[in-house]
Amino acid sequence: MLRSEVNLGSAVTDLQHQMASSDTVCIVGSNSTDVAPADTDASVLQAPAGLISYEPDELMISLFAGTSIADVNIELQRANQRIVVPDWGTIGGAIATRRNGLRESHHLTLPNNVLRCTVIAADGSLYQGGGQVVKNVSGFDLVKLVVGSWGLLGLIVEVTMRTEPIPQVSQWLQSVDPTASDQVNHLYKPAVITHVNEATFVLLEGNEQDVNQEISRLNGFALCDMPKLDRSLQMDRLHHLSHDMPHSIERSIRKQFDPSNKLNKHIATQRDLLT
Amino acid sequence: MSGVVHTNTAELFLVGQDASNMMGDPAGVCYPTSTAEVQEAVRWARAKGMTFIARGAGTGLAGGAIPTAGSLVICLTKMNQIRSIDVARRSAWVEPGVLNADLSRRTSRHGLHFAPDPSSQQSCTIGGNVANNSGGPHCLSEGVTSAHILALEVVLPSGEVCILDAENSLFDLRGAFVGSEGMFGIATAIEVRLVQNPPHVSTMVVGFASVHEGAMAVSAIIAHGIIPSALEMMDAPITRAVEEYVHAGFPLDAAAMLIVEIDGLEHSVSHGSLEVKDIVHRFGATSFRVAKSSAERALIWKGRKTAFGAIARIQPNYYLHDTVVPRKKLAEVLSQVSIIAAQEQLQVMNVFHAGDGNLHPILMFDKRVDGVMDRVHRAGSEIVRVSLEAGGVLSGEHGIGLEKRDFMRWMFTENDLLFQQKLRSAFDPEGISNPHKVLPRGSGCADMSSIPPGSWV
Ligand SMILES: Cc1cc2nc3c(=O)[nH]c(=O)nc-3n(C[C@H](O)[C@H](O)[C@H](O)COP(=O)(O)OP(=O)(O)OC[C@H]3O[C@@H](n4cnc5c(N)ncnc54)[C@H](O)[C@@H]3O)c2cc1C
Repeated sequence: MLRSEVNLGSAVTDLQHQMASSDTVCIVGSNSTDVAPADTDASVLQAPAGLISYEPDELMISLFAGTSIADVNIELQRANQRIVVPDWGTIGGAIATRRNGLRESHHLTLPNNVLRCTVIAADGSLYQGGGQVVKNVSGFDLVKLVVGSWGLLGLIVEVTMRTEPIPQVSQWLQSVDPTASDQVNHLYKPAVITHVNEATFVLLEGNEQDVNQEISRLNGFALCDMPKLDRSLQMDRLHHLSHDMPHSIERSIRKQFDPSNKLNKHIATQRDLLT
Repeated sequence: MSGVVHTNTAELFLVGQDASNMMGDPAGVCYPTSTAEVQEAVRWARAKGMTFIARGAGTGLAGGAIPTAGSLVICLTKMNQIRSIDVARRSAWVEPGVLNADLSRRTSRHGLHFAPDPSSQQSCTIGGNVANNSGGPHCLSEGVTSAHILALEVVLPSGEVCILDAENSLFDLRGAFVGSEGMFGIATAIEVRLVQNPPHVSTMVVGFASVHEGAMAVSAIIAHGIIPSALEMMDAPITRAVEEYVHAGFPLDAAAMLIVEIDGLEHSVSHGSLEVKDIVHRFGATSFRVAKSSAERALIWKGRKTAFGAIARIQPNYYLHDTVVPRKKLAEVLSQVSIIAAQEQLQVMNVFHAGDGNLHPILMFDKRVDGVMDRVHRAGSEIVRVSLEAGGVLSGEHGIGLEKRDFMRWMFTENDLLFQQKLRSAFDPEGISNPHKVLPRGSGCADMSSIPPGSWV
């Protein structure tokens, strides 16, 4: 269903030309992050969508970055697998904003699950980081750099992600008990712990008997659905970053990758990354 | 500062090498004990127009710690304090010279450990682990070093200090620094994530009549949706060599054996082990044993992790390779490796992280034999070539260093390399931190100047 009919290779070449010939570029996924572009003359570029290859036995999927995460997960469910990214927007958008959603407490989850990225640079050339294997230390890690780069280092066009088996059960619980935090700390590797207002939420995943046993050790917790995510928090982060030394490294990276300040000017401005 | 830079030949000889077969040309060595002293050393080198190189324990296998261009060696072994442990957050701030195994030993009373467990863990440093993004058997389920580094304090090549973490920058500079092989600056303090010790563990040793069947079983276990905490393979020659002195009860009649470990909560461990047992028997297992005590488990891991020591019993020298292939290609590439070794008349043994397709063919030789090094290097580059042809990559955990620098073009385009160089330049515009590594010679990317004597790729 996801498999693309048209030749998306030529779509990538077209995007490269557009990138090379534009003075300002605004990169969009499906606009789920609500990052309003300030610049109305900017060319709006969007990665193509579609499956490149899926190998369930290798726990690995390659996609064009414009593919919607909901579509990816439908495809993966057939093989009883998933990717752990909140179920909205495109895969490219999730990677560009390092969207971990409720796994925020495990902020390393997403970067570790992106195995390879192909990016159209500001000058229209293609660069690739990573590889199609699960373990790789060949050269400097452009993948880690691109994950969370907010479109400031190029347009992500293709990605390879690690997939994982869907656990037998997944159960959310919540509590407002003052001992709740302490209790969840004694659980063995809960999938997620998160705090929303006064409530502690915990997600337990795995073997059914194990999960039931863990639940029976908790006092004052009730079963519940996944808590609602505040999407605006994503943008908030941009304002809360420091402006000291790491910021000057970020500026040098920008100078190297986008010397003419072509990409996502509105974000570069907010983060003071125009060079 | 010059007072604490040592230049005597004996010391320079020691810090001129690592666990690769290369020799560098250090101009001096110093042993700072604090971040301020590392800064001072970097500034001193800058003032003298010298390049510098960070050094941990020198156990790296790709020549990453080989000093080039008359560098000042900044050896971090005296910065070996654990600064703080936060049990509730499951994290610790440590200095770069802390030994990998010491960190897990020191945190064990809190029921915690540092997950990356390279076979060299008794002697390698956390700083070296960060620089090489090192792995180990238990990284299959837990992820390699990068998944366990929360923040870094770094002395940049400019001499300035900064903190790289997930909170203070937009770009993941922490992630970019891990695996940068000492070329982005020196890590002077590291905030590591600590992992809970598992309540239940099942360690299985399985024998197979052929390497092929063993490799097929590896793919089948993963394809079945089981992610063991470790999934290692040893072939018959290394199993015999190890068993002779460790006496771990390894199957001596098997052509290949797997160590499969499952850990976690009670039922997932018992169900997972039953499923593994079922799968390996379907793939023709000739023996199956579960460790009955933690002493038995410890002995199995001792056998696995000291395998390299056993090699000395067979040949005086060895060359340990490191490539990764897709799991489904394991059997095919392993048989190509044995053909390559046979063509070059070299003995080969395999002990490796099968679960993530990370091969470690060990070529054995006696370097006193005329012309043998040529054969070793020819075989080595053939192994790299067949791994890449199978859809694999140059290195899974040892890094590029000097060893694989000139293979980088086999895997990356000129433009890929150019963007890697751009990233390096953002951290180190002058190319003075561990120069001449990783990026290949002869392109606009590489640091200019001489090649160290003894480097052969
Ligand atoms: C017998 C044996 C088994 C091994 N098994 C494994 C294994 O299972 N998995 C694995 O991944 N590796 C393995 N290795 C390789 C090696 O042990 C690892 O790469 C280790 O992490 C290197 O640590 P070190 O302290 O010895 O670093 P060194 O060799 O001293 O240095 C390695 C690199 O790190 C840089 N560096 C060191 N400290 C710092 C710092 N503080 N800041 C910035 N850069 C720094 C150096 O410049 C150099 O480029 C093995 C090696 C041997 C000899």
